[in-house]
Amino acid sequence: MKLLRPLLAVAVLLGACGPAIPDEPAGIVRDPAPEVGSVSLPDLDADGRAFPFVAGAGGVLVVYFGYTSCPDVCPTTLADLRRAMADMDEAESIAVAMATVDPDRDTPEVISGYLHSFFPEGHPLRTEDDAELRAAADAFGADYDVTTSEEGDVEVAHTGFLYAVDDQGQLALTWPFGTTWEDIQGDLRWLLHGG
Amino acid sequence: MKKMVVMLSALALFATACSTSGPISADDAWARESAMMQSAAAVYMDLTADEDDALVSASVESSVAPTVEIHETTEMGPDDEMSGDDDDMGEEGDMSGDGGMMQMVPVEQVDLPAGETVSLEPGGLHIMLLDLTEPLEIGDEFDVDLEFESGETLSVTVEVREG
Repeated sequence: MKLLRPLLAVAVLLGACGPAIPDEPAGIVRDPAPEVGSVSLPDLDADGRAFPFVAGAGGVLVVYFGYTSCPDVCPTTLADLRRAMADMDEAESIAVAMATVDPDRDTPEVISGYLHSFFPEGHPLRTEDDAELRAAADAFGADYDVTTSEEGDVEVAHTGFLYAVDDQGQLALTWPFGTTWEDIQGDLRWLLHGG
Repeated sequence: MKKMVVMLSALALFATACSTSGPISADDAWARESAMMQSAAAVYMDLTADEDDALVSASVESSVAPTVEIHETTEMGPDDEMSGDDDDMGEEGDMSGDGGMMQMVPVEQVDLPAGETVSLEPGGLHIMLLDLTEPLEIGDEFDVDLEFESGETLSVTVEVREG
């Protein structure tokens, strides 16, 4: 454990000499890249106006489909993304959006508060129209299922992927759950520097 | 009386610190700080038992969370698909072989084969705290009381980290 600190210091130093941009991304590149820019979901931070899945010019939009009562997969993924972006000079070119797949329990206050505690500028997306949510998820290849057990417990299953969208509205990368924050960071640099 | 309590507390602390010398040890117990509005949290740790045993129950003070369950995050196979439209992934190019749907399932017990370290870790087994009473903040500590099939019990201090 004591070794970790000097190693971290070295890593930081190396980083200062020029951030590593991988030759190939760790995330999954789908061919052809699915087009997601034509779908949108209501953005709670913009009075519910449609938020199209397109990054700003030259930037990257990271999208997650999750829910806030998720104790394991969702906070792990969002914390890894936060860590990946924490020491990136390019972080301001990266937007984050999270769509709740559990709008019944994730009221506007809940999903907004949750996402903003990870990403103060993040876009909380929420709709109660399941057809609209399903259409958005389908565009990404995301899936979810919310059921209530006989005991009345709400059970949620969902794909644990994190998605990167480019400024053309194309799904550029898909990160499976468990992708390390270092790989996410490298891939974000790869995307932002013309990958 | 007071002295006695202090001594007992000291003993208890000592006992916790030396839990590795008991039949079951728990190392690196942690939970991620909870986000605002987050109602459920997960506790992770490494468990090692000297002899075959199993974790059967976990609890925390109700001031932390009233309900505690042992859960496992699992990836569903294609046959487990619950929703009707399960062709989406296939059409777009299969990314994980089985759609990558993840869900949490309660587990009755966590088997601890003798001498083998079993990790409760993100994306796998975890102790789930439901209906968090207060947000978990970095630097907070709380105890989780574990019960094992053998009748052994262990109180483990959990550290809240950024994660």
